[in-house]
Amino acid sequence: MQRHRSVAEALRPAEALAASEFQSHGLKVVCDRFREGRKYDVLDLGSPSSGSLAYFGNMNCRLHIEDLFQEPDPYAEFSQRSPWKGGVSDQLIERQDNTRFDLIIAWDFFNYMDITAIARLMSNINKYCEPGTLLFFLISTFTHIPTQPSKFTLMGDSTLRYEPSTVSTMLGPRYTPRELEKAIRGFRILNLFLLQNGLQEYLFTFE
Amino acid sequence: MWKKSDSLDDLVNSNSEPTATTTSSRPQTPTARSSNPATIGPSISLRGDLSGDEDLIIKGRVEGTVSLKQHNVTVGEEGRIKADIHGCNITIAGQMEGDVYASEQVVVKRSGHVRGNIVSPRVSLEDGCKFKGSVDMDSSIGAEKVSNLRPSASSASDSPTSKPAVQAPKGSTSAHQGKAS
Repeated sequence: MQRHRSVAEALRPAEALAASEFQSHGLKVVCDRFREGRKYDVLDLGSPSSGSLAYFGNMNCRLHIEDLFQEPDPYAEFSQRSPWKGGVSDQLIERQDNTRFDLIIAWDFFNYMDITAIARLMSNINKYCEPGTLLFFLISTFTHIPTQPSKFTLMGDSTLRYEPSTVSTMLGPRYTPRELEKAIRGFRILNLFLLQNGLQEYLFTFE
Repeated sequence: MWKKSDSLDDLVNSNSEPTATTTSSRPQTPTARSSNPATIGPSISLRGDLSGDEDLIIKGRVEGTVSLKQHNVTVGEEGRIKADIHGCNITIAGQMEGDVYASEQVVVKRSGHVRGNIVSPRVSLEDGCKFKGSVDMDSSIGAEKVSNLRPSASSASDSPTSKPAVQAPKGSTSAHQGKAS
């Protein structure tokens, strides 16, 4: 996918590398929904985190951790375009039960997957979804993004700490809502928030 | 002032935190905090069902089930487990595939690598650990409930690892070698 970028835009990698804390409006919506007192199933595609564990544990959730991020490609820094292709696996652990997820958290993984890999991953997840299942993820609006998925820590009260895990950058895909909605079949956009730190928070819902 | 007539137990109780009272209301588990836990050494490989009445440190290989419901189980960094573990406090620093049921707490250390489900009222996953599976922090899980949780009933079929049930081979003499009770 070719995009036209201005020189000014291309010179903004430093902003993408700044750690920040922000109120997640998307997670606030989730919090408001998870008040029924039943057990909720949350699929976290990221790595295990004590913050997520505490946050969702307090909301009576069963947290399923997939840890889809795989070891970096040692030649990533030499590649300008999509060096992380395959860095985030699109393969889920097969489940043989009737688990239906209430929430799926993809963090910023979609920035590191091409659109066909996103579509493949989400079609694998679809069978564990039911109407109302929420999908939460973040897309960078910057031209450059860190070469690895960043670390997000849930601090409680829907506050997220964003911490880039590397200082090297690469071109980001800057997917549009339309591209994402097309790739993520079965889901539609529920909320879209543009944050001050240049990230866009997406909340999709399964229909 | 300590008097000769004072028993050591009295002295310990007088200095202890209020949690000591909580402990006394539990079913009697006199060896739950035994000072010298049993150890399965790094060169030991064990296949079958392992149960007992004391704390256990696993540094070797275990395949099957580990059932020390009133006791603490530690999987050392060298430990390689392919089993479901039932225990009181369970600490995992090695590699493990299977489900973990603890009546008090599960800690997965930074060096820990777990593929399976965890059911415990308290769970701690240290940053850097590897974990794939589900975490269910059900505060109603107590020692007596953990003893009733069986992988086939609640979670093995739910297991994302979809692992086959591990069975001790017929006629295997090692199947019960680890049985301490």
